[in-house]
Amino acid sequence: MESRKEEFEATCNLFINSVSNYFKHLTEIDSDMKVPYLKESDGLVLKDFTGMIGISGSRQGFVYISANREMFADLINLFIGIEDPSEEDILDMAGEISNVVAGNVRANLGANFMISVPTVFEGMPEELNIPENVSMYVIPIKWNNHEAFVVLGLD
Amino acid sequence: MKKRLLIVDDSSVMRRTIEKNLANYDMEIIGQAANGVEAVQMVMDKKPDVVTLDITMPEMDGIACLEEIMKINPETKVMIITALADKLTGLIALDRGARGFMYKPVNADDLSRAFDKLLKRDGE
Amino acid sequence: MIKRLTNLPIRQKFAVIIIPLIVIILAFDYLQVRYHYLDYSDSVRLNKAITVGIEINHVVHEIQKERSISSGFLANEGDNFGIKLNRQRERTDSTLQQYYNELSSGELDELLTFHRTDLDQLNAHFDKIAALRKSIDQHRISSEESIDRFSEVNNIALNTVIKLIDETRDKEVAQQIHAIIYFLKSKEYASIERAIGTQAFSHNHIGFDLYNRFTTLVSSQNSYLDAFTIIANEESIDYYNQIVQGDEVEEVNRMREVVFANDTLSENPDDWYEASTTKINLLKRVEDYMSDNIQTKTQVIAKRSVQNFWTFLILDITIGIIAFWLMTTLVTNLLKNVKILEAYTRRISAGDMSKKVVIPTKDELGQYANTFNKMVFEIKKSHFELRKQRDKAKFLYKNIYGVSLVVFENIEQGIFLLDKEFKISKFHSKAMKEIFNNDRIAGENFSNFMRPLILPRELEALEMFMRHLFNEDMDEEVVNQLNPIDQVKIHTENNGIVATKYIRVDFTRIFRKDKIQNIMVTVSDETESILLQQHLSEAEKKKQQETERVLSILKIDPSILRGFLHNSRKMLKSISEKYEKNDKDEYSELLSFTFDIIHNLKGNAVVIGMELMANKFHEIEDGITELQSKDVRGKDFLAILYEVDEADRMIAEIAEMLYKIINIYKKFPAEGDSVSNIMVIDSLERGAELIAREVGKTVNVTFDNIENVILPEAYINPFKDMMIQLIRNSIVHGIEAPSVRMNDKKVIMGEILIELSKSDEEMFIRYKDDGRGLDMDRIKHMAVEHGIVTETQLKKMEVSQVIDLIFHEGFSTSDKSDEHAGRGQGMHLVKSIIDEYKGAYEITSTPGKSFEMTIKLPIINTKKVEE
Repeated sequence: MESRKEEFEATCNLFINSVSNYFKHLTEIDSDMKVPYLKESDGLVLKDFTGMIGISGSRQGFVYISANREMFADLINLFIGIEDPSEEDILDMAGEISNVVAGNVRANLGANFMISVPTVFEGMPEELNIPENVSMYVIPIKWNNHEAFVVLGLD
Repeated sequence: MKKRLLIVDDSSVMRRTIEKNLANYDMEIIGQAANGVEAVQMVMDKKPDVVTLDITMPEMDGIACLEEIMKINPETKVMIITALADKLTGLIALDRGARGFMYKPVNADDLSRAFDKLLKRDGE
Repeated sequence: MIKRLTNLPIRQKFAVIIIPLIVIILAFDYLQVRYHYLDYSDSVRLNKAITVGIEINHVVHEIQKERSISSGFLANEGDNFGIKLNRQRERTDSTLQQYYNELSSGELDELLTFHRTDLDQLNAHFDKIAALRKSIDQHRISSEESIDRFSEVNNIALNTVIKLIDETRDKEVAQQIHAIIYFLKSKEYASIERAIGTQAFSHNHIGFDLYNRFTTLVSSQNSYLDAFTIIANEESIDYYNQIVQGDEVEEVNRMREVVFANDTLSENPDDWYEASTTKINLLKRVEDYMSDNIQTKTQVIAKRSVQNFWTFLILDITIGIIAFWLMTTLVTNLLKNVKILEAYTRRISAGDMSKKVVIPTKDELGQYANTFNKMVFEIKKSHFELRKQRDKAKFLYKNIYGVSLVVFENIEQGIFLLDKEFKISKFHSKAMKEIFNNDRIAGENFSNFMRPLILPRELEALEMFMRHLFNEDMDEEVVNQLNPIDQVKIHTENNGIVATKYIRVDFTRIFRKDKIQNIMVTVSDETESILLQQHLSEAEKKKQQETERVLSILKIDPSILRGFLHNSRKMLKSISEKYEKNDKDEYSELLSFTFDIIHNLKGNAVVIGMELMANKFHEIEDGITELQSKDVRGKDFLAILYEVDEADRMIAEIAEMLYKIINIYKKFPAEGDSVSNIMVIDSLERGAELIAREVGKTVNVTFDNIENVILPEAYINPFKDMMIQLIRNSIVHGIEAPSVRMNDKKVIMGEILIELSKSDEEMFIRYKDDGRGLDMDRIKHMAVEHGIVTETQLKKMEVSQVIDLIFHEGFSTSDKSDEHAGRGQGMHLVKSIIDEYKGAYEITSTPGKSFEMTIKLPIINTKKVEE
């Protein structure tokens, strides 16, 4: 059982580290992981903006990176110095994070993992294409007083 | 004479981040483009010395855009900055004339170092 | 000759020095021994000679007397001295006899041989005495003649004595012997004087010749005495002066004066004779005294000589041994050191300078050794320098080509160079063959080489990549970011068997004169580590299959199983829900919440006999317990969550399986509460049996339900949960081990009673065991140890308050934790259930006899709950 657990933890850490590395590398502010929990597909609640990355290959699944508007605004403010970013900027920012995280994870997971181009959406879409029988691990990450979810669902 | 830079990225946040990160770099930003078509037009119009180029873009992707830029001016130093390019794509970019390649995320230091290399070679 | 000596080996030189020395010492020793021996034998012989001499002197003394008496006898024609003479002759003969006896005593062999002639001569003269006596008896001889004849014998005798004793090497002894000799002579003359005087007084007249003779005798006598007094020791002279005096001596002097006056000698010759005899006897005493003295002295000397001889011999041998030991030690040591030096120099001359020479002594040889070592060190240094130069030259000679061959033979990685045409260099490391299962490597085009191994897309990228590597306009770092085969899966074929390998390929530019000359490629085979992971996941799959099998064997009542599964999923879900609601980061509270739920689930799993899940929950408990001792962070919950998810997944799988086989149980339809009740009781009995078996005890659960109380659906699980905890506590803590129960005269099988009853508003659950009751001391002790209360708080507490401590979270009286007890959560769980349903409880504990707990729960409307 151990190897599977370790593999799971390694995969989780890859996403978590990628996100926290993004924050640390670009803003020099540390992020902190909170207590994770499980969700079923019908119970999933997302924050304002979400980037979704599909995973295929030896394991199927997906990763969401979801956060409220304020966090993306804060990031934009830090990067560019704009106080009041537009809706487009926010979507842009969410897509950027997802892109980078997906890119990093793919670089580290090796040939057996395929990662899709992220899609970004606002709010809770009507139809979320989530496979059944997948446990979703909701990992809250605190950065600069904002909360972001990294939601990991792997079969 | 100051090098003249064109930033090409579909994300305005990214474009502006690059712009901000290069504020202290001795370079003149002559424009920004959100897709390949815009970029080609601006290269034709403004003849930049250096172009930062994202690969995954709507309308015309990075590689096609690169090919066009090289047709216009093969001396242009093109720096690829991307999150998602696979290695073959990256190599194709180099093949088509790109002189630098970076994976996102990039911070100010990464950019400075990459530009140092890019421009030093040019000076030789 | 000298040259020959100086050329001798040291050992022989030593011999040349030492052997003459030894000879000299031995010679000296011989002389010394001989000297002492001579001293000894001299003394012994002298002693014997003196003994003989004394005997002769005795004879002389008697002859002297006989001579005087004979002279008197002859002078007055035998009138006067006839009787006396005969008596004297007997005495003379007896002393003679003594002398002969002495001679033949046999101890004198040596002396006799040495003085044979003298003694023979003396004896001949003694033999003549008989003839002389005959002449005297017949008066054929004059008085004077007889005196002369006797005197001749005495003269010979005295001379013999002198010859016998006058032979000593001791000066003192020699002197005293001479004193004796002078004294003897003087005494002899005194004796002749007596004889002549006797003759003269017998005639009443002395003739001219006789007178002359008499005066000569006296003066001779005095001159010998003078000589005696000069050389004799003080002792003898004192003795002489002390002895030879008195009236008789005066009388002799007076009568001498008479003779000297040459008048008519009217005096009685007997008087003269008596007086002078007395005087001579006195002289004789002095003589004896001196003889004794000298004899004692020679004896002392002999004894001393023997002592000296032995002392010297022992001393000599001792000194000799010591000297020999010293000599051999020193010489051996010297020779040894010389040999060490010799061996060392030989070794050095043979070229071996690895060791130092060690000579432990601090003499010149030791210093030589030090000097040697220094010398050798210097030589070694210069040797080393020379060798270094030589090795350097050798190294340069062999060049890097040789070195790289060695490296290429041994390194685990594949290493080779690529030229601009992507051709693989002639030399490549041996590992290349093993990694690629291919002998044709050298000279091959690398992209052709890789073509059958990788995907076309990867190959295309590789060719591009290599081209950029050789492009000097491109930064190496930039290009290397895009290495398409830094991690790649390849398929190699070996004798028709296709093997999959995971390899890592790295590229490095090699410059010469600022131009890219080659690309160095290193290939590492990482298959093993990657395959290992795959093996592990395969093993895991197998385990899962086994799990399914185990489940199919378990014949658990499906309705119980379904209840368990449903409850478990609900509980597990509540964990995640609690996590989700958490917003204060109270990590330790979350942990203990999780623990409670898992603990409860574990209890349920044990009760229905589902070992697989019990183990899983125990595993989760272990993980949580481990975390409880640490500084917990959000990240740590990921592992718990994974385990929880996995447990949930397992339950889901079991549920799925259950669904598939549910048809088999369709003939046992669940008919409401009463059926569930029976199931619960059945499972509690089974659980108790299971727990008891594991801890090596036996127990019987009796269920008493006279009033036929039916537990409403809502109470079934809480009732079961509580009972499990109580049963577990009873078996683990309360009910004693069989041996203890036997000693206490209790029935070996422990008894647990569960009784249900109800009133209008409440229902009662009475739980009782016949174990040892609550161990109050231990509860107190453990409560303090777990930090639940302090000692001071304890002292103020009443019995019921102490009992309540067992309900405290984290309380346990067990030292180790296992599936059944010891986590310290059981009673806490019971209490929280009672609290949850607003019930009440009461505990009675009789030490050594029983534990009893009565739980009151409010009656609830069954139908209402079902809705």
